[in-house]
Amino acid sequence: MFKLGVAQINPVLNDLKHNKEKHLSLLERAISEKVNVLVFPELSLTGYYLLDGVAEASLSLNSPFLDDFKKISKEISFSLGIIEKGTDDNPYISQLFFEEGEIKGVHHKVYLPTHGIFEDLKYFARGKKVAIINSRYGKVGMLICRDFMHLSLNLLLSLQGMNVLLLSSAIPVRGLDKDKSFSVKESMEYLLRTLANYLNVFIAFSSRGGFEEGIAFMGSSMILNNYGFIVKEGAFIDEDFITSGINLENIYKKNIVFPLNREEDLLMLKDNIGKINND
Amino acid sequence: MINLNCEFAEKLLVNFILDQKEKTGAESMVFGLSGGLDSTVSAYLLKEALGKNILALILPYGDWTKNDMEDALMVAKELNLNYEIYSLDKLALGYFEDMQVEDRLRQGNFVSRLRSNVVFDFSKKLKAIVAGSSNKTELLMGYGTWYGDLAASFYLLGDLYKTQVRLLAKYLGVPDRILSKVPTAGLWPGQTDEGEMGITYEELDKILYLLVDKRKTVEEVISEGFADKNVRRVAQQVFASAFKRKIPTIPKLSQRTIGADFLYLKEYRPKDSKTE
Repeated sequence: MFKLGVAQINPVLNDLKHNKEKHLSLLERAISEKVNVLVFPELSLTGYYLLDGVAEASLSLNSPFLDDFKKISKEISFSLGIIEKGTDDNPYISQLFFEEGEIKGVHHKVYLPTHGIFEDLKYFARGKKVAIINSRYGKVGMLICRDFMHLSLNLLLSLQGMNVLLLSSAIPVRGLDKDKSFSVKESMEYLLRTLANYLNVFIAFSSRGGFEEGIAFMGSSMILNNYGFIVKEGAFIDEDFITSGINLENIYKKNIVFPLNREEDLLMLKDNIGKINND
Repeated sequence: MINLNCEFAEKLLVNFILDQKEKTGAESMVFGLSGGLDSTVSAYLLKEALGKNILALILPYGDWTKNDMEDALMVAKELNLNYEIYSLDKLALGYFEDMQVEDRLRQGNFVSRLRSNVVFDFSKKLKAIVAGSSNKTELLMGYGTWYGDLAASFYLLGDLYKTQVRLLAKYLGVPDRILSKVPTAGLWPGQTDEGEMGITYEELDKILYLLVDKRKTVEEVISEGFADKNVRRVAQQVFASAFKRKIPTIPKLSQRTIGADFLYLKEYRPKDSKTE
């Protein structure tokens, strides 16, 4: 058993110092509430629409600015979002997983939406790798926003044995033109419930709140169990903090009665993907 | 067809007002209160967000807006708002006489711009920002006076069609008397929005919703049963009025031009906060 938490925050655009203080105080709170793994949203340290401010807000992984996070990660495991100045001298939207005093895993956002209100690919380089992290609390996968809307990346992590999926987002509110709820939230619930149930994973979905100019971010974070049920939900657009107990033993139990994972045939998949004509 | 999750819309708009106040550092917000539906809904939301830190400006001209002024006063009293009343007669009539302005559209636009002058003067006095009440229907149709009622720090209702503003108004408990009023820009006596645009808001909003939100083509909208002439006229008007929705065009000369490749959000501030 361990305790999984989501810090649903509203980062101040380009104010890394302020945002860092907020992260550290929430990590302290999480430690006091005996949370073992805490997930922050996409670009939680910088804010989202940096535009021409991307370079100024970026950090290398060896930046001393991150030392306080390494230190506190001796007491709690967590993921947070930065703009990373990559070793290849390109900027990435990154999610870092801190544990036992070090950065144990890094995910570069792979799919960078560039349409409508999104301009990711205009400013950032694409990630090319999706790998699980062997954490003290299970085989952890991290994906960032548009990434987890691509079923392929979830499947890649699942095939590597993932049992806890940490998702980080900055999702603009859209589609309030209906009686109840709103279209992006309904879409997220539908997707996450399906992923959790059919990949047999626990999911922490950390979705930022607040505003950047006229864009409101939806908040409405969720923690889901491996049967696809939403067990905790964060507030709409406000900041929030949610936690839930996780029993990884339930993954084994579900595999016994609903053995999708062991039916999966990796060799057959590889063979068929190799045969797909890329025209 | 066009609905609204009023509960979430109210929360989003109230939070937005608080966010704008914090990020701009404004001490309060000022807005023009006409007694019409849009500015009344703005009043309800601003009051909910900021309490006493708002000022409603009731700025009548002649006897054109007498009924509206009574309604504006009713709203101000109902919500216990801080408000000021100032008649634009002296300012406007002096100019109209000196320059022999008789055209009612010129007069209407002039008064609308005088109104925005007064609103912005109060915003300076009170270290405030200006809440605009233009809705999505008006903005898409360009149905507003450029630098007049369109002059504002933000358009609180700018992503709500008129019929959605009405839904929100009902939800917020706006009095029936205001809900049942015929919408008017108050440009001249007896002027109504629907009369001037030649289409009802109900039909107009449906056409706009299909064209803009649902990205349908003119032909697709017509095939849903709307009059050919109306759909084409609305589509044409949306693009013809684009100039009112953007900053003035700048001919590019340099390596980096405002609006073209000098790209930051308004709330972006450079910070020397890293220790790297």
